[in-house]
Amino acid sequence: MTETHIEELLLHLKEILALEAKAKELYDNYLQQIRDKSIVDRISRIRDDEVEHIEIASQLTPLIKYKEYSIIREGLETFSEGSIILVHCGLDKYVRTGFSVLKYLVDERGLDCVYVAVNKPSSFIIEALAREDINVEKVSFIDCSPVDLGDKRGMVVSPENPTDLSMAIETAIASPEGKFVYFDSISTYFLFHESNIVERFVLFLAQKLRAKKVGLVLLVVKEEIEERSLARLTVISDKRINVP
Amino acid sequence: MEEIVIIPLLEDFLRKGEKCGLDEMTKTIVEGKVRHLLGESIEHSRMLTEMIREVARSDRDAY
Repeated sequence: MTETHIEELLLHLKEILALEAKAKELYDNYLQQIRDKSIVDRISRIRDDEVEHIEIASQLTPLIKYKEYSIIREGLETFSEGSIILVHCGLDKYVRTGFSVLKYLVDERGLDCVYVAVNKPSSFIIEALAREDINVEKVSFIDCSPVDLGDKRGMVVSPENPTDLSMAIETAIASPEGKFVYFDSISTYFLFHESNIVERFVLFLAQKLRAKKVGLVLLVVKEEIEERSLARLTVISDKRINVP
Repeated sequence: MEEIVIIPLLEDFLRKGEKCGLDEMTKTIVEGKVRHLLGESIEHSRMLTEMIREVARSDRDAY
């Protein structure tokens, strides 16, 4: 597969999406002008189909753009209130896997995300998400990145202190409806603490979120975690998605 | 007009999608969704042609 082919397919898709949007606009205009009920009924049906087509065409973009998307989408299909999911990927897939998770849960499922950013400062992530057309408005941040770029959009918490982080998450999910917590990445958190401390923290967090019916997605980078810790986190989770 | 333009565009997309090396799972999902769009666009085109005929046959002011 060459990048040119994928790029070409994405451009093609953009054209399809623009045409569907134009068609919807056209039918909306017709509906304001036409009086005949039989015609209005049929145009309304076509117009409603166009709305569905726009949604379908929008869903196709991440499927084509990120190779990981179909695996993530299938793995997260049963994701619901209180689900604890471990997403396990290699370093080379880390960025696209993260985008795929957010593209699916935020853009496609319409959930609000509490993003625990350990690897990169939130300002950096906000820019990256915006570039990928992910709805940043539905993402709030708990910034644990050791690099402080002075962005104060989210809560800033030291990665050294799990109690502070736990309290910040609790504050962020004070109104839990339609929210999930995305931990990027739990494997990086092992840099700041002993394995047993991180594992206990995840167990505690999982119990708390389950009780509040808030979902949790833990991103794990294969190269950053020991087998024993991975096994522990897998046991705590409802499901592990392996991104090959 | 959009319905007429979009049909060959969707058919072309299916042909290109077949060759661009997407993995099987992705290809199946993408193909299923695009075929759905194509089927409905063909149906829209048929419905619109029928409506144009009806309008042409009758007193246009009624519409």
